[in-house]
Amino acid sequence: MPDPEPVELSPRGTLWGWTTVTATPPGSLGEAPFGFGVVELPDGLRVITRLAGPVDDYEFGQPMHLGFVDLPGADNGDPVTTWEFHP
Amino acid sequence: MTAANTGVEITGIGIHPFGRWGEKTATEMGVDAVRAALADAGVGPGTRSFQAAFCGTAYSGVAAGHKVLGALALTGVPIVDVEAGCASGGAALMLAAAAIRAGQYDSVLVFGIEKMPKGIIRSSFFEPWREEAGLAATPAYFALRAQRLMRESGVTKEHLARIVVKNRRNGVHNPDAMFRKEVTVDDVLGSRVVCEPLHLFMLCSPNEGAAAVVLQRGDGGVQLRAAALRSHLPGSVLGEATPMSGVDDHDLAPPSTLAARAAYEEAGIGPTDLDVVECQDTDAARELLAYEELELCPRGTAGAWAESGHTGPTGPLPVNPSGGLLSKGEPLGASGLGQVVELVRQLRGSAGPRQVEGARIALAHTVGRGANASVTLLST
Repeated sequence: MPDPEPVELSPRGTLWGWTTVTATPPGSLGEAPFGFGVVELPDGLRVITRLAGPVDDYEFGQPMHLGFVDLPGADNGDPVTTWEFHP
Repeated sequence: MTAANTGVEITGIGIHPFGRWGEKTATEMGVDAVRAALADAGVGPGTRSFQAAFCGTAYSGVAAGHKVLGALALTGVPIVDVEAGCASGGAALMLAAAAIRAGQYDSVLVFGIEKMPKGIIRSSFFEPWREEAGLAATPAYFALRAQRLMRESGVTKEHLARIVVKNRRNGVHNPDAMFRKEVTVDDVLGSRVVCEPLHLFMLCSPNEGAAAVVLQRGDGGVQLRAAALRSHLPGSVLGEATPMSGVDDHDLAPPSTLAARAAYEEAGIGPTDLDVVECQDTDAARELLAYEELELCPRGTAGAWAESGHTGPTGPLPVNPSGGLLSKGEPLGASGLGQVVELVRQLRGSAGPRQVEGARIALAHTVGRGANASVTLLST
């Protein structure tokens, strides 16, 4: 087994799995509902990610690209930026 | 080390029903289960027949096992708490059986206790930044696995609903279960969507309870033939390890398969030898996935297997005759030992209206956070 090392990933991929989170998960800064799924990158790696919603019309294999979303900071603090994939 | 060189017998079982018990503490539930198991083993009150104790628990805090045995005045021996997520009970069994087989002890007490809040389980497994980003959405991971099973194994939402109907029907006859009312396919599909394709009734409820077994060196009664625990291989994206990324895992054996193969080999028992199974039905799709991962049916055929009624109470291989976690609920540290309690009853022929006729060889399976998977094999 090779030693893991950081690699740069493609910001584009295809949709491999998706659902909608309907109840706000523990510790989440954002509120439900939001999209959630897996995007497959060109080198075969699959990434767990938030998805830009609504996801009702999403289809298996559709192209997706990386984006960012600001979530409200805890206790009126600064917003926290995290990633999400967009169609 | 491969084959066992000495038998391990289960001489006593005890359970505190799974449910929600208000002010009753995990310690108090543990006391009830341990007392019942020792009585079942023929041990008189205040007598300590065991030389060590392992306590499976994930959420009970420091020295949880000591608190239970302290309340029973049974301390003085080694007492070790074991945490392996949903497989904590299976992990405790593995350690206890290995210690007996190694000649370290003649008898070991194994118990599990848990008192969980309702709703999505909060877990320190998720780093704070993952929680903040909303990625600690446990049912969403279950949903993605269910979606994949529907895409690759011919599973439909109706199949998922019918697993719930099967297990809830079995649970009607189990006084230790939390839900004892039958549901219909319409009820299941009419319950609210938690994470498409999973509806509320397709998900088990985290709850409270305790279970205990007494292990003894010996070749009679119900034998513990194998107790295997495995973790995940690096790389799989949708296993219970819930990593942030991974690869196509078709070539990677999941932890449940690793544990099953180890247990089958240790016991010299194969999937076709089994008479009854209790498996991890965290959600309805998880049970169908377990059929494939435990190699009860070939990969990609879980849908057809579900359709055939193979695993119903009168089918060739009944699965979750206790009602499963879908009926009992899931007190993490106690759930795996609860399965073992059910299977010992089945092998003793004392399961009442749930009895699987002529059951001689049984398998218990748990899988969860870590990832950890345990497979336990029992026989008469």
